[in-house]
Amino acid sequence: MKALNKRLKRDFKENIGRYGSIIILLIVVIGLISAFFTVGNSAKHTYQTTKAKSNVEDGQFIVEEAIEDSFIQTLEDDYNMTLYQDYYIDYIKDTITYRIYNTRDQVNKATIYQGYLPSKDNEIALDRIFCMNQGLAINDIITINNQDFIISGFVALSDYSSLFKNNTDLMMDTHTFSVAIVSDAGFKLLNQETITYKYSYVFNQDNLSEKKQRETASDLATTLYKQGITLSSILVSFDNQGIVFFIEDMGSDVPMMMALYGIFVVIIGFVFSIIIRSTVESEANMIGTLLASGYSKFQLMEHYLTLPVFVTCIGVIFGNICANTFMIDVFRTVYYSAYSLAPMQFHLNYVMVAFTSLLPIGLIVIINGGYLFRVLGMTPLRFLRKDVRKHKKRKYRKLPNVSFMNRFRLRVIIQNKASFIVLFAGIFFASFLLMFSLALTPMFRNFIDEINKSSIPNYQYILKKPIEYQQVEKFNLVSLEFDNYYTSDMMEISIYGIENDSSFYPEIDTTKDGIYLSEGVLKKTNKKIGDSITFYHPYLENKYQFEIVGICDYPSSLVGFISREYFNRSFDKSEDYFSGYFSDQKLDIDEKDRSTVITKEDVAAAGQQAISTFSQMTPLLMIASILVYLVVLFILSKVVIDRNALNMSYLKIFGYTNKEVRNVYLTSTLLVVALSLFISLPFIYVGLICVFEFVFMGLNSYIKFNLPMYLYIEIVAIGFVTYFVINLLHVRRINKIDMNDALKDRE
Amino acid sequence: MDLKISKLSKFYGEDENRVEVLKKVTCEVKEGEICVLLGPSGSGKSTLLNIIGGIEVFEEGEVMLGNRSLHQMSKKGIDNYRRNHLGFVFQFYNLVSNLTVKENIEVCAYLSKKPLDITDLLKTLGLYEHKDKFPNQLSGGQQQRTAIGRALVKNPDIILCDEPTGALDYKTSKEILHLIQTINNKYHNTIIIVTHNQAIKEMAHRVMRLRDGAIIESYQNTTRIAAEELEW
Repeated sequence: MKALNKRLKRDFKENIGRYGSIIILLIVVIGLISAFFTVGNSAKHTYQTTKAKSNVEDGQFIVEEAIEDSFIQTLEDDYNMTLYQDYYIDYIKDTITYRIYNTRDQVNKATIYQGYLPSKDNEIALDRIFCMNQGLAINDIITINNQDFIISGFVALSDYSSLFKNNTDLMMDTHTFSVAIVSDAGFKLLNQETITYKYSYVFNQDNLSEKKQRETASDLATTLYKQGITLSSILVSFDNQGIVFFIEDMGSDVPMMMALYGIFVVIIGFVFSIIIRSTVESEANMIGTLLASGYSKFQLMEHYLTLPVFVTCIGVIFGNICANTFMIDVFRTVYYSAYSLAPMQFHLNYVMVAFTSLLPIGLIVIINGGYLFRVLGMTPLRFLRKDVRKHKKRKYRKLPNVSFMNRFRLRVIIQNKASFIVLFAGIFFASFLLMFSLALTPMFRNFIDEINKSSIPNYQYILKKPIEYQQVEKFNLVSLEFDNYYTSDMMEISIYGIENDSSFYPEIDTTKDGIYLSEGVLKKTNKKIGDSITFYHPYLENKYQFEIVGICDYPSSLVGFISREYFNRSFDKSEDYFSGYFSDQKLDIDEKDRSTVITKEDVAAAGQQAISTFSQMTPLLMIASILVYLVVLFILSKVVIDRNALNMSYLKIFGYTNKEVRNVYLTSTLLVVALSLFISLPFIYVGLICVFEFVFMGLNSYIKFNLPMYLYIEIVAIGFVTYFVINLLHVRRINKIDMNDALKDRE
Repeated sequence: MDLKISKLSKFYGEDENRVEVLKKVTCEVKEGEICVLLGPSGSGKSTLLNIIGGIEVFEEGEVMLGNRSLHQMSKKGIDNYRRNHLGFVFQFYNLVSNLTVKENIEVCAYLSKKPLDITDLLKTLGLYEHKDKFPNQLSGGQQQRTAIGRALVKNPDIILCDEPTGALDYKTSKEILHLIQTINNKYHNTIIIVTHNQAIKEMAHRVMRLRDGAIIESYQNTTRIAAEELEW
């Protein structure tokens, strides 16, 4: 065995291109995956440590007016909780919203990232990511409510680890939304009329079940209603995106990354399998001689598995080294540009290091060991006769009546079908990854375009109390919930009551006693026109049933429309009740009279934010998929050439030019690449529908799945460009094949 | 076209390792002749065949096919020379393993502007029944017949046969030699056969014997024996 193993070193050197490219691919992919898991694990650890230190709320509610201290005491006693005033003021300047909190030293405490917490009345601490995106530095001055504030520090708030302005927002907003902390004195300088009365609560008893916490929140809401307190919202921490989104997002990424890694490793396993098959075929005489000389099947198995396992080990070792040295910075940057987390301490995820290391080695041993075990069980004589095919006799397949050259190419494809099947799998996998990474931006861009094209009013003013304005269209609004047919989660829907002759929604027939729903609601409830649908009050036990009479043009959102008259009837409101105004012009409504202003830009901003979040992942996915393209294509097409090198040599002797030889062998590969690319497209389309349906189904918004035609063209173009790059290497290789090779091989 | 070789020398290696494998070889083969090159291993007969086939280059001398000099041909010219004028038959057949019998013959038919009718050829070769079989489904004799068909389909001026019966049994060897003779009679191609087998010289028009890179004997047979009557 010792003597035999000396050839492994030579084989490695001779085929350094083949093995080197596999090593590079393994290093990059294992590096990315391992770094992803290490950073994820570290971020999770950091998040949990910070959460524990910061006394993060178990829930919160927002009311229209401050609650009296005595009633707070009653609530605390009744529900065995501690209630904290966590008031804030939303200050909007241009497109930017600053959510300014008073000093938080008891609940949802801030972690300082850089600088210090404000102590003077003119100091402010802002969210780190927002400052990074806005180019703000410590000691910069921002003006709020005509007061200059010096930025004293960058903070991360544990209840805003994901910067959602509203809990129902589709995406985090790290560009135009920031949380901020000012001192008590500083808070008093702000417009007190715009205070949002938010109360955070923490249960005195640890480890209350989620069910119990939800029941308590529901009960608390009822108590507040019964007390005559206008409750704007109540939220348990399990539903607070600012608190849980990070962990859920991390959790949802892990199985996807593991699945992608598993598929990748299986493909690499089969690439090795093709290499081993080709080696066994070409070394059949030698194997036959060794078996006849007394070498055992297992000795030869060990010999032929050594190099693939060695190559994989190199990839695994260096992949993990790269992952835990510089690649973690790539992912840390990705996480820290999306999430507002405290400074990270790295914690190696040993389970994942073992997973990324043992999975490829194990699969390569299983896939190839299986093949070798079967093939090496043949008699030495069969090897000596070079008869190592599973089926002794090659089956004749009648080919279509095409030119000889085309039949020749088809024969090459049939001869190398195993290589080409793996090549197809590699191309499909790489194209799928590529399409996934490229599809996100246009899909969100389409989401923004649809909003901009739609008849949504530029401004929706939601009032605290009815104020009459002339010549402005009134609407009614209520937020209810419905059952997501696919996830069984409760999702929020805004139900509008509109005027009979609405200038914004003229297509809605308000004479019907029924509801028009946006496409998103119909999709998520699996309902159609004519069905009836039930909505639930989020805090009370009230149910509301409507008949669906149409679809309304309100893209990307979960909304329903009925007439104002029907609205007031359905929700027991007075005849002249209304919630606010639709307007295409900015209205001069005093801040103290309005509850919220929803602008068309607000709705579209979610899409913009999504683009900027996903755009960071796009280059990584693109690099990984193009590498898979390059390596799989290079290795498998090289196997085809190596396997046919002798035939090429014969052809040259007979008088075929290099170009003609290339025309047979490289065109066969080109045909397979082209077919794989085109055949993959519909499967990628179907696959992505499933993936995106799953990804988007839980969102409180509706994003239409669409793949623009140019993406298909891009995928095919990238595939062909990769092929032609590899082709250049093979052209040189085929030109170098010597006619004498055919004369030397006389066995 | 006649083949004329004059003062042909071929060397392998360099400096002190330089070996002269062909030493000023001069000979001539007339159009339509069967020429047998005899000699022990290392005598240079295969090298001479490869030089005639344009597979190996030579340092000195001249090889003329008709009035064209091989020495003066460019690489492309040599490729065209092989493509248009030569057919090859090897000891181990060298068939393309993933092509059928018919397709192996088509490999060379593709190169010719006026190839022979493949169906007729398959019948002449006794391969018509096997036309859809792959090389590994054929006997050695059938494989060699396929190789002969592949060489012949272009109807080349010269067919070069390197030990065409070297891997075959006695009976099959005779069948193959008979086939070669039949082809020569039917199509009048010049056929050069390199062999160890002394008996084969009896079927040739011309015989050359090589030793240590030099022709030590060259003569024409006044009487030839039919291939099926050869004995060894």
